[in-house]
Amino acid sequence: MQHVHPPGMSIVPREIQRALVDEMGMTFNRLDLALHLAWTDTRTRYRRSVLGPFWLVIGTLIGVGGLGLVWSVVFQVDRETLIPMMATGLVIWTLLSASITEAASVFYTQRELFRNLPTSSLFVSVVLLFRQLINFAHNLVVVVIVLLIYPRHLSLNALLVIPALALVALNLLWLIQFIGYVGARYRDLAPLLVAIMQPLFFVTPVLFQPQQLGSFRFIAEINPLAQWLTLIRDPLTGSAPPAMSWIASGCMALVGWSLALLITAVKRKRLVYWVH
Amino acid sequence: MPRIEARNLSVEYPIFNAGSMLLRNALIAAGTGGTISRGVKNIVTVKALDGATFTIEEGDRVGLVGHNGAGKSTLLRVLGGIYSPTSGNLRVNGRTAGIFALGAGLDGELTGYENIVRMGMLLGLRKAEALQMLPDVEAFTELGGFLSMPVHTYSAGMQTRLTFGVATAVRPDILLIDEVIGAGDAAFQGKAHARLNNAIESARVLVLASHAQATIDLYCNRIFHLEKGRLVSDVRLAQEPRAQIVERVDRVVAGKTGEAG
Repeated sequence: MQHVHPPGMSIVPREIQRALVDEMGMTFNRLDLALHLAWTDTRTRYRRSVLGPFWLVIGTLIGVGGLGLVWSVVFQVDRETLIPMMATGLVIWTLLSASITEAASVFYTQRELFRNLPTSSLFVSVVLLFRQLINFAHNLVVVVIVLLIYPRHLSLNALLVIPALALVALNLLWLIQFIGYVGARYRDLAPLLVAIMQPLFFVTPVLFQPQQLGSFRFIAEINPLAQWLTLIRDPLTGSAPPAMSWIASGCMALVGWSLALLITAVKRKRLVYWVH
Repeated sequence: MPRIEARNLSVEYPIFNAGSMLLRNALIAAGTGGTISRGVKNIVTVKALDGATFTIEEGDRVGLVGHNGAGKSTLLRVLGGIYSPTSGNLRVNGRTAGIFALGAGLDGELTGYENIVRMGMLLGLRKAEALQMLPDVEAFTELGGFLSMPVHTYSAGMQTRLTFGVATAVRPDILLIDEVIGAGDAAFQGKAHARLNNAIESARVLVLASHAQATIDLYCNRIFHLEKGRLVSDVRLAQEPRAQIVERVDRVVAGKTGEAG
């Protein structure tokens, strides 16, 4: 391994290219390690508990079951439509909001790594993403149960969930990376994001469908989280996601990755001092 | 061929106070054109390393000496790729591994065994290679049944044995060590010397920071004296072939612990 540092701190396109090659290399060479770390982090979280991995799932199960039964009565909506829609909404929302709120402190939490080993920030973000995806996979058990009980809307469109999840994961990664840097520099970003997620939950179509907003649909359309939610939820509730969602998410990925890679290239050398 | 070349190497880093790390304060400062800055501007920059120039080649066992704050840890970390030079040139050829802080890379909730694999992987091994390392590290640490318990139950000395065992098992080209040999009890000291010996044999370059003259004398054939970030002197001691150093250490260790080799 060889690292060469030319004089000065000036940011030149070649420097940016080299920085990115370094970060990408350190990350994609060690995806095995990222997965290992994500798994062991998950296991330690429930190691000392009785129910083990199912602690992750039980909250969702109770939420979905309780809310679904009560709301179907209150809003006079048929359960076969409501419960799968809510279950998938909640599970996807957990993935999105947990990724965002944890991203703000992701580098600070791993500061021991940054201070003692040459560590790639992108790698640390990938570990967080993997951990959230593992969590999501656990919660999918609830969705599977719900879909087995209410299979009316299930169709072949469900297979689209795979590319949908891939596109959302791609978006989440740049978002985690970007928020990670800002959150490492400004420690109050983490509580700020937690506070924002609360009202955002109600404004995003998690427990309802975007169509139900009628003439206020734009509220859902300008919300990136809503687009990503639709992308994953629609296949599971029987429809193909609208082209708009695919296009919007694709564009967000392009713009977002440019932002994230830019901030990484410019600030990666400072990051270790921010998290000291 | 491991090799380290530095020309005018400088490292400066910022020290932030609480106010400068708040987004709220930054926004207020931006919004008021800097009139209400609330600590945003009070960021102190420390020049930890100032214009160091040197070349380290295969066979060099460099000892870093100097007062606290002289720049020894900074130099080690910039060689290890953790800090980046703010000016000057640095070229490092070869795989490096550092023992900087005991307990770095340890996850308290995982068992000793799991931590060995974790640290090995963090130091660059694949999972299969890390697993192969287990018997060797297990034998060295002599932690026995404790290896199946979570590491947060360990004493500092036990954690030292664990991290030391892993870092020396990994076999890098360039070994960077920051004053950790002193930690641990007397019996461990003897084993640590022998173990470090082995690690040095396969590491072709060693850079070791220590306050203990005895440690420097034992392992180093070249001394960097650092003072306030400047490399004040760079002295090569009488050239000794590696084998002679190894023999010398063995004899000293045998004398200390009263057992052969």
